[in-house]
Amino acid sequence: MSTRETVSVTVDVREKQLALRKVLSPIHIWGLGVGIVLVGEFMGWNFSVQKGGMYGGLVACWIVGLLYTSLVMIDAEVTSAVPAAGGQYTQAKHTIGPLMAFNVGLYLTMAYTMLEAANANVLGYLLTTMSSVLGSTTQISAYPFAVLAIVGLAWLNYRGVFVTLSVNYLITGFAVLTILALFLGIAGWDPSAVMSLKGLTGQLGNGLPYGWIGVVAALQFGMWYYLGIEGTAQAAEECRSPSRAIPLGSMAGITTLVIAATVTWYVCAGLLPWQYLGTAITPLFDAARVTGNTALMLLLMFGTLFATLASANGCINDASRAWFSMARDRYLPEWFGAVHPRYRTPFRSIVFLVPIAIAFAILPILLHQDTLLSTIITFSILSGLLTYTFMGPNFLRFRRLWPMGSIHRAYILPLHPMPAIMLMILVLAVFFATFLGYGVALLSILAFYLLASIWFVLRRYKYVDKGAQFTAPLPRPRGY
Amino acid sequence: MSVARLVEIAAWVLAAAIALWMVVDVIRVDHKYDEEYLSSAVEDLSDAPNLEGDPTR
Repeated sequence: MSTRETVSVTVDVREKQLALRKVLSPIHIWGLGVGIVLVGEFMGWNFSVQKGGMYGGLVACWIVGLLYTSLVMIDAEVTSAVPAAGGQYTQAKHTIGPLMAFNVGLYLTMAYTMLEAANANVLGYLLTTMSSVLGSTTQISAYPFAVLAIVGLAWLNYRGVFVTLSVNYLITGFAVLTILALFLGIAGWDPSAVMSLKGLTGQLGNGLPYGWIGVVAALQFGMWYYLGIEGTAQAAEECRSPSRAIPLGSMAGITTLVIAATVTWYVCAGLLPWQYLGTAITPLFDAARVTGNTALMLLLMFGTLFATLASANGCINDASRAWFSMARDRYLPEWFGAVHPRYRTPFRSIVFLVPIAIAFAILPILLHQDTLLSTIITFSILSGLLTYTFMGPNFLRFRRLWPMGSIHRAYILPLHPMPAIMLMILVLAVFFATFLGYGVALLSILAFYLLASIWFVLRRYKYVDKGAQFTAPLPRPRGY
Repeated sequence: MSVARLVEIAAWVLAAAIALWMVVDVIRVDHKYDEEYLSSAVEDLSDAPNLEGDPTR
């Protein structure tokens, strides 16, 4: 067959096949990764201060930062070689096997859907608080706004990935700028100007009030600074040049987050007493309120709101891609693996996950159970942590199956195997910290995934399209 | 009726309208297109760097 005939046949086959649209660039990847995470800077990270004191919170911020930096570098190498939707699910499928892949896909879907629900819940709370601040005497219900946020963002995702992640890039960029504005507004380069030095100097009472065990306990909340950055890998199949966009967008993302996390700690530690900071719901906004500067207060109020929206938006994008990828390989009913003929999005997966997210978002309000929200967030964090547990061993195996020189890598992880080993050690430390604080929740979640695995092996595995799921242009692995 | 209640109702109506639009579109697409075509997507790795780097090719 001549070259022209080959090209003609390829074009013909492609016209009869649907595919996700390849429109994303590194800025979209940055917007997706940082967008999902940044809400953690505006709320949540500060519980690490409650557990470990001011310095305990900072140590947790940097140690967990090391965990995520290793993780992002690992992701960058593997995803630049196998740029498919599904991210870590696809990695597990190629390197380990179907059961691991099913579990990782489920971890990802649950982690993002639960985080989306928590974001919508918080958004409802923020809007009702804003209405009180703006002088409304009537108590506004959080329900309609939580539901509207989920449905509205799902609609955006349904209509196309380009606009969805362009919006995420803009609102995430704005939220990052509000953190920098707070730093500049309080003359952060001069710690004695506006800030209280007592918070920063780290005396025994506020620095490490519970000693080093407090630092270990703080690790689980240190995850809030970065949880979700691994979601950049989900968009690989929709990038114009994935081998460039994924490493560049992800590395820029983790760099932004480490800087934003450190600035957040510094500003809040200098403006708020640690006992208050450790329990605050919106610490950055509270820090802005302490300054008494109305412009800063407004900026941080909208920064918090936009960060929450960006996180929910990115979560819908990533959860639907993970669900879609599993369905495409028939790990789940094939119906979910459909692509919209016009918008080129996994439309059925997007719509299917909407009622689940709404249910988890409004349950804490409906049942008047605030603790339910923390359970939902814990479910999300632990599902993410389980994904990270697999990534270290997975990468070691990836390098063994396809050693250097056997495949082209757009990004090569330096100092191998140090980052993978460091990732495994730090994940174990965070697991231990989580067990200290949420032992029952951890065991319950493990039981849930065990039951799901049993269902997969006994009832679902027979439907998996074993041959068709490996379409990556990888050479035969070493030893096979 | 207070402004707060009106805003709440507006949020409900908007959420319901958007949800309805999505459901209707899903049904419309299901009727208009063949299921085999809608589920024809495979991992599109045509831009993967290994296509030119694969030593077996």
